Amino acid sequence: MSAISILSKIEPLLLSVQKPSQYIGGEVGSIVKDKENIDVRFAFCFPDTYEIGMSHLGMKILYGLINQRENFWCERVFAPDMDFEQLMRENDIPLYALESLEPVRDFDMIGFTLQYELSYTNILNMLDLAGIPVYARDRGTSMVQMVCAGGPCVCNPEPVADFFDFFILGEGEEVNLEVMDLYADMKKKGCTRQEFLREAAKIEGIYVPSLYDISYKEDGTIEKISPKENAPAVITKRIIKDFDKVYYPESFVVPFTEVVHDRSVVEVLRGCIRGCRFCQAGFIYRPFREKQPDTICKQAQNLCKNTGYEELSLSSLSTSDHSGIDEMLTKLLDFTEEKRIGMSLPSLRVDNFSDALMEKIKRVRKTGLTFAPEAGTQRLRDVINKNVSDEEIMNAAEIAFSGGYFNVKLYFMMGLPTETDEDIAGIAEIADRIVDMFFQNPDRPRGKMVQVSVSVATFVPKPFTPFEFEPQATEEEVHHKQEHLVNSINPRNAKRVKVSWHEFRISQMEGVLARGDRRLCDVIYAAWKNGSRFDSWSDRFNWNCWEKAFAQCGVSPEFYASRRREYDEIMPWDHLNYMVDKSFLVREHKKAMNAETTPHCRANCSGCGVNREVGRACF
Amino acid sequence: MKTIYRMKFSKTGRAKYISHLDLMRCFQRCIRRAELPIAYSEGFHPHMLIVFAAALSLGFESECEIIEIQLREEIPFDEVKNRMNAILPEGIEILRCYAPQHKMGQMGYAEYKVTLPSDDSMELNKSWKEFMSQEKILVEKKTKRGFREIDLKEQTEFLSAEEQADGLVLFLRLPAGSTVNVNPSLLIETFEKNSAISFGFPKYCRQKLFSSEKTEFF
Ligand code: SF4
Repeated sequence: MSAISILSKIEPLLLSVQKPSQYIGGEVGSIVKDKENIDVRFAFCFPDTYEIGMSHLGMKILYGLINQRENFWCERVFAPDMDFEQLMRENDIPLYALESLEPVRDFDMIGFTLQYELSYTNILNMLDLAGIPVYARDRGTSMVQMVCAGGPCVCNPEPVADFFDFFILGEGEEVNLEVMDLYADMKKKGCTRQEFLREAAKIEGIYVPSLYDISYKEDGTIEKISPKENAPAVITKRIIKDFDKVYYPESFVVPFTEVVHDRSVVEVLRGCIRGCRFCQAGFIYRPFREKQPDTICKQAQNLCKNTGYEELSLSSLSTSDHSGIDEMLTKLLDFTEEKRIGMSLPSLRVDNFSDALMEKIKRVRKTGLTFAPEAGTQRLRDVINKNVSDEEIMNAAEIAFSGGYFNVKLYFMMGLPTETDEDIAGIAEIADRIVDMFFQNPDRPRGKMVQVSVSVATFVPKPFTPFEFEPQATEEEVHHKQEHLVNSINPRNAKRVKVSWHEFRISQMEGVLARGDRRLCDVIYAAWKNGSRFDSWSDRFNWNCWEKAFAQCGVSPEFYASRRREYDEIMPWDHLNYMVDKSFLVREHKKAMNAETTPHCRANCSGCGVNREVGRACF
Repeated sequence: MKTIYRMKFSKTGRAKYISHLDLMRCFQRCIRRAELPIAYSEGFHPHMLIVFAAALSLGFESECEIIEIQLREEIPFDEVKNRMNAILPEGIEILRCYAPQHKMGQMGYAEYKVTLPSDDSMELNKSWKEFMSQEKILVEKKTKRGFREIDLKEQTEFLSAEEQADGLVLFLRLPAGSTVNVNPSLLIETFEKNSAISFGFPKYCRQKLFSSEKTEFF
């Protein structure tokens, strides 16, 4: 089916769906090439809607990177929303890419980004809409429709291993081009699919799941992960050594319709020095690397100029840990003020909020402030290694109130290892103390009601963290904790403290998929067949589809979510090397059980193994 | 000193699916990209001084959209046009940049080209002529204050029809002012309900704007 026939098929339908411009492409900054001059056509698929996918920085980087190469063409593909999906199916419209409006099934490579576990059913749905066999084993022997994936969830891709031809571990700026060059070369030579996959497996960071056999013990745990056809026993993630020099796009595709994050973004650093024990990103993105303030400033200026965006934000796990934060913010604020560009600064840590920095931020910030103490008591914060003290939380709130804010948003988790009712009550106590402090503050904004929003996520243990051994809290435990939290809030503050949490089943499914193995592939397939889609959207998540799928496949979700793993258990991801030693994770787990903290990487290297893998000290 | 630049632009192809609100945002960003010295309003939340005339329905093409901007410096009209055209997205093109002659409020009518896909445009044309020969074509029109009955016959100036191999092409002039405004899709939908002969998905293109005195709007 050609572009023209897809266009003529969708035109009569577009006016009856929500936000039609998301299905037609043609945005400022989108790249259209002549396919006759292209060796490899790459469909970058985001397994969620346009609105969400277009906010994702990784896609913007790889889109620009691949399209810089004359003989490659990267296009964008998103999951159609339910209304359009129905029309596509009724009218035999295959999933198409936004630049060429040509079917995804005609592409050489179809690459998904795995940002969150609950997008997995969308991947199956997109492959099916494209008319591509969902299981990799059904894709024949020729070198077409090579389905691959990258992104954070690839650190344990086993639950989706059967659907992909290969995975890309770690940072993609170099390896993506290497694997595409190999593809171009082997396609010209007329190689088979299997020949290509065997060659690709030799590239560092490329994991071909079909080249590994997994055997299980009687108790359901893994017995052995066996490579075959000379595939490497261990696959190591890729990292960019010189982060200051790494490719960064000069422009973004600027959507017509509003998307979640619709602005210029500059990535200021990668990795994180903090080592919070619950945080997967803090481990899998190591080591910590930062860009020079001048590089950041130049990239910000370029982007704002080429996109016309009126807003700029900085991306990182912890922007305030940048060693040149003052210089960087001063330069950026000067330039943005001059150009009438708004600047937004998320994820600033509570514990290094200085008055001076606050002053600068106050010049640009308009609404409330957001803090993430994560746990209600000092003891539990020590367990999770979140090095924030009660005093620092109060201090930050105080500065905020004096600065004229009256909205405070607090993020916590429940179901953390070793957590007791006392820790839960501690969450309520912090919220109550903040309300009290508001009324004691002589500089508080007058005529405004203080609003403390407490958002409590259910803790999900993730691979490559010290808590990967831990069971996830059960439904009973979580409900008890939620009740206890609500009852612990001073009734006097009932109107000023607003508590919210996620649905238990959604967190549980995230937990199952995060630490799952290959036996979950069929469960995901069954859930999708049962109607699951957009599982990360609380209004669309349907536990019945999953419950039925587990029953159909004879798999127990509790085995994956709420079981304690021994230190020597073979994890489904044990053949993947994210540079952090398992012995370090065990050490960290033991310290956690004793509520012992670990200093951040800049203060003291704790020997996680990354420096050895990279071949140099991190600082 | 602020100078007013009025621009006539076309909106065709993929760009016809850009909603009015999204188009405004797109122009703001494009003006930044073109680095035009745009003037801002006074006040606490300054905004760019931009005015759009007569919102176009989603899905319509146009060869006569109007945007007006104020600049802080004087720049030749052609330069403004060229700088914008260098960076505008596919389907949007500035056709002319000039000093306004009419006030925005003087806009009165718009001319449309409507294509009704059909294998038998002769028969369809007959049916159309029959439809238009009625004395009155009364329909309910949704307004801000509920429904109001209007006579489409009275409002529509039917200019001409062309019978083409793949469809019937109609040229119509309809009120497009701030007080009276009739969307051609209302007329075509009414025709579709009344016509014995069916046709494909209609295509609309706004071609020309007129003042309330029926002179071309500039
Ligand atoms: S090697 Fe040391 S400094 Fe580097 S990430 Fe690991 S613990 Fe931190």
